[in-house]
Amino acid sequence: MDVLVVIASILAVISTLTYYTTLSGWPNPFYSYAEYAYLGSVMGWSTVIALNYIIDRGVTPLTQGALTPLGGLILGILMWTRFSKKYGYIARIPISISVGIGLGLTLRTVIFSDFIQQIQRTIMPVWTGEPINSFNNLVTIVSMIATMLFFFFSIERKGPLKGIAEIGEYSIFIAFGTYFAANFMGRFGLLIGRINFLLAPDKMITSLTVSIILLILLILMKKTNTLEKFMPE
Amino acid sequence: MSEERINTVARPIIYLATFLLIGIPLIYPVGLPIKVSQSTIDFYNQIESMPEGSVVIMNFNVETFGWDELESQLVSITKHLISRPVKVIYVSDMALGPAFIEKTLKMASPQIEKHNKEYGQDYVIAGYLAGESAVAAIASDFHKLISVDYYGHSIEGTFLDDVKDGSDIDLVISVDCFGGTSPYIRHFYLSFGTPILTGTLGGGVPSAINNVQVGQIKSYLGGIPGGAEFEYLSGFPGVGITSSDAMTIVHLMGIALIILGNIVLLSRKIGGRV
Repeated sequence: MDVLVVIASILAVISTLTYYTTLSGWPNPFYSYAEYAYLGSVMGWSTVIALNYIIDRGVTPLTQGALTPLGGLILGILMWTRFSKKYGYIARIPISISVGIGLGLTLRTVIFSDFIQQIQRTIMPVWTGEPINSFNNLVTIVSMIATMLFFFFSIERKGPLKGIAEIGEYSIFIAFGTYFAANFMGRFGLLIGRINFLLAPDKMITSLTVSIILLILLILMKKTNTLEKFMPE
Repeated sequence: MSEERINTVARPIIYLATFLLIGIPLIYPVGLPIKVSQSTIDFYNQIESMPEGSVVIMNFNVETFGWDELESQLVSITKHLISRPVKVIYVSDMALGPAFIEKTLKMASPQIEKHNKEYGQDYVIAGYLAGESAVAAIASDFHKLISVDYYGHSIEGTFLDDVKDGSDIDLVISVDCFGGTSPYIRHFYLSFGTPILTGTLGGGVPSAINNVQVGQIKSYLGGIPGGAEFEYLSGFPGVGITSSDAMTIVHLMGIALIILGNIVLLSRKIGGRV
C-alpha cells in the first residue's frame, strides 16, 4: 500500500478520535486542534477549488476570445475593494448585482416549484376508491387547512376556529416528530459511518491504540489540571 | 438520585452502549433482512428505463460530514450507472464535492474496467458548479459555462459536444447534504421536464417525500437505509448493507431510551418533583 495512503489513514483515525474527546464533557486541546485542522484544510481546499473555478470558467474562455466572462470577472475584482476603507463602498455594486441576479433566477421558478405546484398537490379527491389512499388524502387536506388556520391571527380563536387551530397545532407537532425521527436516523447514520471507518480491518489496531493513548492523556491532564494550559488561544 | 447525578452516570453509559451496539454488528453482522421500499424500486427502475445513449447529470452535493451517510448511495448509484449504457456528467455544487467524485469513481474502478467505460466518451467530471446561477447557466447553454473539465482539459471531442442545453439531459440525479436538488428542479424539471432523482441524508427524507408527491422528483433514497436497499437491488453490496444491522439495532436503542426518558419524566411529575 502507498505510504501516503497509510499516513493519511492514520491521520484520519487520529482526527476522528480527537473529535470524539468532546464526549468527555471536558474542554480539551485535542478537540480544539482537530477543529482547527479541519477548518484549515477545508478552507485551503475550498480556496483552491474556487481559484480553479475562476480560471477554468472565467480566465481561460477570456484568453480564447470569449468576452462573456469579462463582466463577471470585473465585478469579482470589484468585490476586493471591501478591504479598502476609502473605496469599500464600490463592493456594494457587485454584491447588489449578484443578489439581484440570484433573486431573479430563483423567483422566476420558485413561484411554481414552491407555491403553485404545492397548492395543486392539495387539490385531491377525498375518495379515490382505495381506503388507504383516501385516508392519506383526507389527512393531507385536513392538516393543511387546519395548519394554515393555526397561523391566522386576524380573528380571535374561539368556537370552531379554536378547535380547527388545535388540530393544526397537533399536525405541526406530528410534522416536528417526523423531522426529529428523520434527523435521528441521519445522525446515527453519520456515527455508524465513522465507527465503520474506525473498525475497518486495516484501521482497527490504530483506532484502538489511539483511543487508549487519548484516554490516558485526557485523564492524566485532567488530574494534573493541565487541560486548560494547552488549549489554543 | 439528583438529575445532575443521573446525567453524569447515564451519559457515559449511553455513549458506551451506542458504540457497542453499532460496533458489534459491524464486526459480526447479524444478517437482519432488508425490505426494499417502493421508493428505492422506483429509483432503480427509473435508471434501468433510460435508453442507450441517454445523458445523465450526477450531482454530488456532498460535504465531508455527509460522506459517511451518503457513501452507500453514491457508490452504488455510480456503479449502477456505469453498468448501464448511459453517459454521465459528474458535477458538484459543493467545493469539496469533486474530491468525493474522484473517490467514488476510484471505488467504482473495477466496474469501469469491466464495462470498458472511457473517460470522455462515457463519462466526464465537469467539476464544481458555483451555486444556482451555474445550474441555470448549464441549463440554458452548457458550453457557455463549461468549456473545460475538472482537470482543465478541453471538453471538445467528448460526448458533451452533443449536449447544448437542458433539453439534451435525460436524467438528473442529485445526492444531497444541503438541498442540492432544488436548483435542478427549478431549472431542469420546470423548464425541460427532465426527470429528477434524489438521494438525501436521513433528515432530508420528509422534504423528498413531499417533492415526490408533488411530482417534482421521480423518487428518492433516504440515508443509509436507502443506500443499503439500492445496493441490494442493484447487486452492488457495500457499506450500506454492512451498516444496516447496526442501524436497526441502534434505532431500537433510541426508541427504548425515548420511552425510558418519558417514563422517568412521568414518574417525577406524578411524584411532584417536576
